[in-house]
Amino acid sequence: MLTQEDPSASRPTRPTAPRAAWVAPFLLLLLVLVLVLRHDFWNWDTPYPLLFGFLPIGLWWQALVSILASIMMALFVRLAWPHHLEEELQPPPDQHK
Amino acid sequence: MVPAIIVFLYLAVVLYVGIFAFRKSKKGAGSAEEFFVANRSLGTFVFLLSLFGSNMTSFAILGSSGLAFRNGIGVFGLMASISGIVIPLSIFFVGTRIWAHGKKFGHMTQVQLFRDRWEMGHIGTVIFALQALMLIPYIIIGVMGGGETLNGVSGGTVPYWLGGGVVALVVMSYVFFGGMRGTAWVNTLQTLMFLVFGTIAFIIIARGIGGLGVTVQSMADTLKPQPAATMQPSMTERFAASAPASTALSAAATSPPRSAIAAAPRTVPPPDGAVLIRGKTNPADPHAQDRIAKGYWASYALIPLSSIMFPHIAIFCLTAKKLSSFRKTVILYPLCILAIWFPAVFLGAVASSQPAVIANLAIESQGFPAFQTANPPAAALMQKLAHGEITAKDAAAKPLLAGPLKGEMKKLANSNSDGVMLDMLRLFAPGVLAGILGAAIMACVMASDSQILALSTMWAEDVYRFHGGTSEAKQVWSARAFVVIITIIAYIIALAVHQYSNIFELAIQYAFSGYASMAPIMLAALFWKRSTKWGALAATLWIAFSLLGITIIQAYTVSAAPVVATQPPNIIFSLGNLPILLREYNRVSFTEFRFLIVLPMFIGSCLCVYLGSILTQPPSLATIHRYFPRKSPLLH
Repeated sequence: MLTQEDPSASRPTRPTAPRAAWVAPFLLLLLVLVLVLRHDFWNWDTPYPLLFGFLPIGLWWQALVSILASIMMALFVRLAWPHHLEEELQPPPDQHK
Repeated sequence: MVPAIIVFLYLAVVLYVGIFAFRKSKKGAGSAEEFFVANRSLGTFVFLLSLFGSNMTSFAILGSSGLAFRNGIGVFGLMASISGIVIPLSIFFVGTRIWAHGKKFGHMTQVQLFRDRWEMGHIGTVIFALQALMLIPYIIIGVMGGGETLNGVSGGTVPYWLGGGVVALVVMSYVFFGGMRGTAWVNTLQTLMFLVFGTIAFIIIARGIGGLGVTVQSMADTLKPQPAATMQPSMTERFAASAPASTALSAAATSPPRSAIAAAPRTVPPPDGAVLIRGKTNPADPHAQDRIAKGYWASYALIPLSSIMFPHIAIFCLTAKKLSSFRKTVILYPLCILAIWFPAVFLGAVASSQPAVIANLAIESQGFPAFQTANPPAAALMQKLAHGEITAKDAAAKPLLAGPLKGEMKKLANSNSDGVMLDMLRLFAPGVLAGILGAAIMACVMASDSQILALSTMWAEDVYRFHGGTSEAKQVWSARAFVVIITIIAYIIALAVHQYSNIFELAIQYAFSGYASMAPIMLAALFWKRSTKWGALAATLWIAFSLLGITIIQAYTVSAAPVVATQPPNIIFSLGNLPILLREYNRVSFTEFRFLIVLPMFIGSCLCVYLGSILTQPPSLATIHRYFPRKSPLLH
């Protein structure tokens, strides 16, 4: 359906450079760390310390988690960007001839 | 009235931007691809802001600040910080692949992807039906929020029905004419506006409250140990005193199952500082309950998975010009959430210690007339406090600031807490500024545009085109007709259910849990070669029946619900000594950990996809090779 492609046509794609072996475990660990920090049950019963004198810990801690999530995503983009999705969209070389 | 006029001017600007965006589009003007996915040509800036804007609804501002008013600062971590983790990840892994497959094969909806990927026809229609049914409540929220915002900003001059009608008409118009490009431009404008003026609102309200440091410190000081006698018994104790498990559900349907000890009312309102924590206000009390149950908190992590399964978000992923547009989007997304939710939640929580705000919300609540009849002097006092005729420092106001009357006033205010942000604007910001800030809130409220467009896209592509409609012009016009019809239906429902349901629970109960449970279907389509259409069908039916079942259980256990949100839940079904289903104030939860019902739904959905797939034939190798051209060692 839709924009059908010929299934039999083989599309040679340029292989993406393999990622370093440490990248996947590192990113997974980072994700687990962020998720653990989000579950800050140790701060459950207290508003202290108040950041700047008015922000309870249950709030500013979670704000820091959000900032950490942004940093984590930057690392995902840097280390694990799905380049192959763009490569698969490149027209076959014979179309350029 | 000045704020309302400014909001109306803002609506006119939005209408202009939306309608004329489509005329600015030269390439492919009038084509289905242009109307539904803006020719897949949005740049990074518009893509980020419009994607984010379409995900922010009235729920993000009115709902979150209202919930923080009732439940405290925990709302931010519960909903926002986890969204800042899960949504960018799902866009990174799923959104990019939806974009790539859409670019490659021409998909404009998720169902088109499923039909192509799994070589199926009518099963796709079943998925469409479920998605559409779950999206409608979300659209209704937008109309409700619009009505409430205009009503609040105008100080009641513009009635709810008119406000909702105006917002629905504006949204309908620019979606009708502008399609995806118009919607994306409007969303970009709205997000920018909210980010800028939301910050200003935060500063003004914070100053109006009278110094956050003093206010918060005085709230925190109220968190001193209290006598245990006034506290609720623990759920375990109440369970031990309850009826035999096998009869619990039927009993709950006919009469309150609460034992005498469970029904004992709270004799004093919680301290003001309770909203600053998520746990027990008095940890030394063995009967004390967490304000936010840890199981509820943990299971909430599944809810943001709904984001990528919402049709409007998935369709937005198809509008990016390049894959690189996703890069900044996923990095900045958590910060955008932080910028909008953090002030809304904090101000909502702090407002719960402000007598004038509480009194305002109380006298505008639906329960106030009954209270006025029962206790005219107290009601008159509340009105004086709300209208500024007396202040919290006056001796005359003292009866409202402690004891049972304080509890009554807070209870009334809690029932109307979605209006807290608007009330604070009215109280603390001058007229013109209140109007600008009201327009900023309106910007968030009007996110229903992308949902209406998504639903019409699904109609045109998944139904009309699937059943033989090949003319692009007719597709677009059928979608436009659908926009009108769905907006009218949403408006009628928003009027009908307004007095029965608050914004937040409506969305959570039906749309978020359902869409989150559909995530395994999308993950299987994109990452598991061996997945089949029967697995997708099994999961879809499981989700549909789960939602139906929960709705029935919820309806039949109204009498078993705690009277107020701060009371612990009641057990409505158990196996032996193990509580399975609990009736909370306005939802059903799972096990004594009080997990959200999305947890069993999600696990069941995973099992259905897995079992349904391994027991049936996969699609042809040709199809699998089209979707998985690379040799991957994973997920065969």
